[in-house]
Amino acid sequence: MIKGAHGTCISNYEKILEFGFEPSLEGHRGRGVYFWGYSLDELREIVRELSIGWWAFAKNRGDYSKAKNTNCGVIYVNFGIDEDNDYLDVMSPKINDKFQVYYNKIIGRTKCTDEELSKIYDMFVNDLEEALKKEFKLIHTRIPAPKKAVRFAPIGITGSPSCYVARDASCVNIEKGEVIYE
Amino acid sequence: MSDLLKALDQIIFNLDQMTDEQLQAKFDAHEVGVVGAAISDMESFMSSHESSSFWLTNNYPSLMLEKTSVHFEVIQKSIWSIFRKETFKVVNSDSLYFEDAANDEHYAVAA
Repeated sequence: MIKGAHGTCISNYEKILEFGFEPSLEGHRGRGVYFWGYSLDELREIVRELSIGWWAFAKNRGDYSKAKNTNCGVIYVNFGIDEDNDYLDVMSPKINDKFQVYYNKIIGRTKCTDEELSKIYDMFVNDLEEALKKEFKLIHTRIPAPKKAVRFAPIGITGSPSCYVARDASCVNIEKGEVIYE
Repeated sequence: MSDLLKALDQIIFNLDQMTDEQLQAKFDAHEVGVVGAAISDMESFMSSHESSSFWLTNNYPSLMLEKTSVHFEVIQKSIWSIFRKETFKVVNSDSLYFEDAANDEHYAVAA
C-alpha cells in the first residue's frame, strides 16, 4: 500500500485532523497536498525525519508566522486509489523522459522565471489529463530532502526521496498523527 | 502505459506545432502550480524582522502603507543589503519570496 507522511505546524495539524487536507494551488511539483512517500513500515522513521525537516524548513521560511502553535506535527496517511486509473508516476523512466522533453521545450521557448518552473510540472499533468480525459488523484515524484533530514535518507544511493502529491484530497486516508515538540 | 506514452507524444508534437507566442500564451494562462514559497505578506515578514522593518520603513515610508510605490528592485536590493544575502526575491506587491536563512539557500529552488 502506498503511504505518506506530512509535516506541518501544530495549528495546521489540528485543523487537518479535524477537517482533512486541502490541496494547495501552489507547490514545487504543482498543485496538491505533499507527502513524503513510503510503502514499508520499516521506512516510517525516515519519512518522519523528512517531515520534521520540511516543517523546520517551512518554519524558518516564515510559512507559520501567523500560526498560534508553531511546534511540529506529523500526519501519517495511506492513499485509497485505483493505481491503474488514479495514479501517475512521473518518475517512471519513460514518463520522466517525456517530461524532460516537454520541460525543455517550454523552458527554451517561453519567458519562465525561477518561481514559475514548478508550473511546468502542473501543466504537464494537466495536458496529460486533458488528452486522456481523466484526472489523476495522486502523482508520484521526487523532491530533494530538506538539509536537516539528509542524514536520514540514503540519497547518495537512492536519489531524492519519493514524494506523493495528492491533487484530489479525497484519496487521502489519515492513519494517525504525531505531535513532536521542539 | 502505451496509451499514456502515445498521449505524451501527441502533447509534445502539439507543442512543436505552436508558435512561440502561442506557447507563451498557454504558459501564461496556466495560473496554478507556481511556488509561492514564503506565503508571507509584507507585514508578517516585517513583523518577524523588527529591526529590518524599522530600517525599511524609515527609508521607504510608503512601503508599509501602500506596498506598491517602491520599485521591487530597490526593495530587493535593500533586503539583500540588510541580510547580506542575495537569496531574497520580491515576487509581487503583496508577498515576498525568501529562502531559509539557515543554510538552505539552494533548497527552495531545488525543491
